[in-house]
Amino acid sequence: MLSATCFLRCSRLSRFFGDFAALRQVELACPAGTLTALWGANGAGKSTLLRILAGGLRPSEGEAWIGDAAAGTAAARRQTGLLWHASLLQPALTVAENLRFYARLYGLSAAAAERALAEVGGELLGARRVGELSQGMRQKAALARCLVHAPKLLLLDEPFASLDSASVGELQATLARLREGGTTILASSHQAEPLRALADAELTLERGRLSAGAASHA
Amino acid sequence: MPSWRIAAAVAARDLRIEARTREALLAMGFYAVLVMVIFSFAFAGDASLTGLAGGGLLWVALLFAALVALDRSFSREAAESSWTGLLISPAPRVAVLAGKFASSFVLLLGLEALLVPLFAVLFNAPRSANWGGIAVTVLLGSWALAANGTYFAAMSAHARQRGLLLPLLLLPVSIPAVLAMVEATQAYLAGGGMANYWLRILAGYNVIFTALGAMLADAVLEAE
Repeated sequence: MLSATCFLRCSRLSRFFGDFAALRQVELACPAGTLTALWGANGAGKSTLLRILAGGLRPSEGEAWIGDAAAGTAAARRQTGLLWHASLLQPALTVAENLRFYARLYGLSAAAAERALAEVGGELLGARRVGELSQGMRQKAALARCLVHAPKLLLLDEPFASLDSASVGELQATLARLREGGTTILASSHQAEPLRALADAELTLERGRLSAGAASHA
Repeated sequence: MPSWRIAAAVAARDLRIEARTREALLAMGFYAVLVMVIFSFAFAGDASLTGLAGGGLLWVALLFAALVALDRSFSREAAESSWTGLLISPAPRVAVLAGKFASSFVLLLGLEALLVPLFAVLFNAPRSANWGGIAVTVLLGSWALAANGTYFAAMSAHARQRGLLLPLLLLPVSIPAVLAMVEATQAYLAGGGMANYWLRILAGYNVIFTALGAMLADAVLEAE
């Protein structure tokens, strides 16, 4: 039984690609204002789970709720930010142009883009084209994109990949600040240390199933 | 936010990228001009041949240029997975598709502004031709290609063989529109005839297929 007070809830969530089950009967509940670390080997289903929660993929079975909205609906998308392995930004445009575009998609003014960039400490990136950025800078710009609409749920796929130690520290500080502000965070990572230091709970996906200790929030 | 403003934002973004990279415009322009020049060698300035086949020739160049533009419009979304960024936003799907349509339509019109005068010069087209009618045909024909093309390009956006799939999906459905475009242009080059009849068919086709595309936008973009 899932707690109704949890901001993110999944019930019997499954996703099949043909005969292959990427996710099987996933039960998950994360209270608001917590950071949950999601571990798992390549192909365990972490990215599939995050894509379903972000509304980029439909589940084959089961359901997921973001607050009061079913995952995939416009209301749920409005509350969700996804940091993906790609930046989801247009390389030919500047960071500021990309962020202003996303602000308009969410019905917000250009001020939201500036606020998001300031939130990740990326003010100096605004005038630079995404295609010219290093991987670490691109990751920072991508995080700003996630934060343009001040989401209540932040889904992070390998957020510490390709970051140097200084950038890891900055990202940790940003995530800690967001969590204290009430944002619910679900983050997958291969790098245990940076995420474990922040995590309120840890879950493990193994071949599409959450491991026995997975229900620590529920 | 109203859907038209989101569509305008998507179109403005695409046109800004195009203004910066000129990828689609150069590729489609090069292809279309090449077709025109090669056929002009075969026609050798014979105006009677232009009267017989000029409409088809103009639309061969425009049709394949449109395929290039549509392919570029969606392949640039694959870079950094920006298409996923559009799909996980709360923006209505129909507004996203309308924006992609608008940018392709504007690009096609830009190309045609160059291509139609070039066609008139290279093929010694008669001055007595109804050029106003040809302009309306080009406008409606571009609408048909951009509307259908956007719909099918979105449908095949995730396919590995996207470049092959798009013409395979688009061309059969576009046959009635292409027939009307060619016949109307041919008739206007000859000074009238059945032009208005074909133009009405083209307009009706646009209404039906644009409405269908709008109604099915959610289904197409949620197909995964």
